Amino acid sequence: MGVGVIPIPVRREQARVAKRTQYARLALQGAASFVLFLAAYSVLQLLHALGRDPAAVRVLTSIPLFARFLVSASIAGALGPIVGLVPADPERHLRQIPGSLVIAIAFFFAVAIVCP
Amino acid sequence: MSALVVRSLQHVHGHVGWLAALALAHPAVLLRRPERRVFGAAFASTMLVTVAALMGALIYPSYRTVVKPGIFSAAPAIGMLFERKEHLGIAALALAWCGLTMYLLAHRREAPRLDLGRAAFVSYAGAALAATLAASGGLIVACYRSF
Repeated sequence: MGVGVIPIPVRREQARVAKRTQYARLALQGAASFVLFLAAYSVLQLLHALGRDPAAVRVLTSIPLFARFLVSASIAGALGPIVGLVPADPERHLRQIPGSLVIAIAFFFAVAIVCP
Repeated sequence: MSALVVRSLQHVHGHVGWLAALALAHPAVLLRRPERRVFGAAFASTMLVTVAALMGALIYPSYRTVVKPGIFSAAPAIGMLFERKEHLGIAALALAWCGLTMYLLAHRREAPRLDLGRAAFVSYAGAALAATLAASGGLIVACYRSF
């Protein structure tokens, strides 16, 4: 008898879960981009300190700081959204974002201070 | 760019940089409770650090040719401090935008608010620390030599 009423809340619940998953996926892609930016910039800075600037950095502009920024932003913009698509259940991975950010920040600070 | 414009930009950049460092601490402190609504503070501080970074990017080519050689020949440690400050400024900019992105996503309906609020808190705390160190470094260098 009551079977006819059940589908509406179920559909609503499904839509709610789908929205939640969509935002979790977006957040994962965004966070991956920013973490990748920090990591790529730190690695490029390390290479610069070792005198081994990649060709892409040297070709881009005559100012190494701007070139590193542009290359890191390009890497982050291209790979971040792809990395965010990998996990099947993005919500489960959201808890790892603050920890990943802390590691990326610590690595960035260490490189910036030790190899300016 | 004329010397007067570069000098004026440098002064404004310094002041806006310090304002941004203080402003970024505001959302960081408020987001200790990750579910809190702090859109005004988050947006304003992110815009301030963006403006400071844009002004810094405008000045940097002139700094490289006019000021940097003199600083590095007279006091290499101060020159290195400036290089560190530039990297930390970039970190502050990236982390502020990361914080704003996480915050905006956290406050959409049905979004996993708690986890994203925590990510926004970490981002703004990192941005505030990086901006404060960058502003302090910039102040020391500017006291030593500027345009």
